[in-house]
Amino acid sequence: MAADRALRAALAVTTLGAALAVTGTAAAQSTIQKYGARPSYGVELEPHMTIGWIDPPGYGTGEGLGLGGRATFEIIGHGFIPSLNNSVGIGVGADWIHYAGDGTGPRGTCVHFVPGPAGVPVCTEVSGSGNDDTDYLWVPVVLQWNFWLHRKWSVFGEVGAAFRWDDMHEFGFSPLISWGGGRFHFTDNTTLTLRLGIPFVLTPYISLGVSFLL
Amino acid sequence: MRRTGRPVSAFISVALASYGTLPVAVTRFLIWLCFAALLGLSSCDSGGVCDPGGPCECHDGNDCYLSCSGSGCNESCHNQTNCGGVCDDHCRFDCHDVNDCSVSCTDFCDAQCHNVVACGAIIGADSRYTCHDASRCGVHVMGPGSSVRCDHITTCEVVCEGPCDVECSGTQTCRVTCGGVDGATHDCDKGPDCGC
Repeated sequence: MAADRALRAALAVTTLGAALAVTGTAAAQSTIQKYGARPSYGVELEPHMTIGWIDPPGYGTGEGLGLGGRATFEIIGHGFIPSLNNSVGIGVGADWIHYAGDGTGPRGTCVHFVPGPAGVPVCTEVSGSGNDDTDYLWVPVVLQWNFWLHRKWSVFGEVGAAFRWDDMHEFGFSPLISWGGGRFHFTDNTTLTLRLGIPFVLTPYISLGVSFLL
Repeated sequence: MRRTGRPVSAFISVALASYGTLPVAVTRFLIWLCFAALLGLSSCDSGGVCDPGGPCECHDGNDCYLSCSGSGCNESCHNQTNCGGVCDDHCRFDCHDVNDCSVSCTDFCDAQCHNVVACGAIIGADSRYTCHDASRCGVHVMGPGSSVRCDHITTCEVVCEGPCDVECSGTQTCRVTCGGVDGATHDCDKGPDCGC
């Protein structure tokens, strides 16, 4: 739990610092109303680290860490709002997350059913303690809407769906997932990219990586 | 009713266009508020620990089974393929929108199961179990003083080891077996109040 709080606090402070830095220079170098004042690219390739900071949707407990990647293809260079510097892309990805479990194992698999009245089986024993680690693979497909705020900063929202491989043996499907994210541009075509699952209960992980706008 | 005629995109456009023109102090205050909300939301999760008195939940997944030791557990399942809970005395269990849902608890258990395909339960003495809007509901009552209610169930079957109350309404079949699984079975779908 302490590690969990530390992770959340570090993430919030890091992002807050970044956001505050934006406000200091925003007025002078804003590009949000300058169409075309942004990197020219056809695909964004983004290897990243994944962090599952709430319980996974099924089997498993606690927080998780993993690796993944995203490829986003620009499909509309001048986005839905004509007066703003915005663009739209389609993103596909793969994210693996390992949950180490917290050892208490409240969520597990039933190891003993007894037949009950009306032919309904009743679970009377659940596997748990020390064996609640698991792995998840997410394959999201999203629509990404970008806003090019500043020469050094851009933000985006994503909405879509995801296929899941729960506990690496059960197929799952999330019909609605969404993220909000931002990029800090080291150079015009290389960025630090943070993506937050919003709301967490539907999209229970975040990512932090480097994007290459090619 | 007067309509402004401004689409959502126009609102977003104005909001983003004002970026950089707000006083810095106001902007920073708004950002602080956002991050306070962010931290607040993230702390709503139970962290996976299933302690008596605290929430313990499975939702939006495939198969998930909860186990909680101690008096006063609070378990819930919803929007799962299959789900179940195992807990001790004074346990509360709520399950809905799954296929098969079961609970196994001891005395003074308070459980309900609704809007599922099948509900199954093993409960102890002085407990209460309610199932409604399901195809099947099967309950085995292990101790005296418990009550079972079936409402809008196709088949409700209850086995009581000792004295128990059973109430059926809107059921096609309601059977109660008294004195254990080998005891006498009688139909209870003719009237609302039944039992052993």
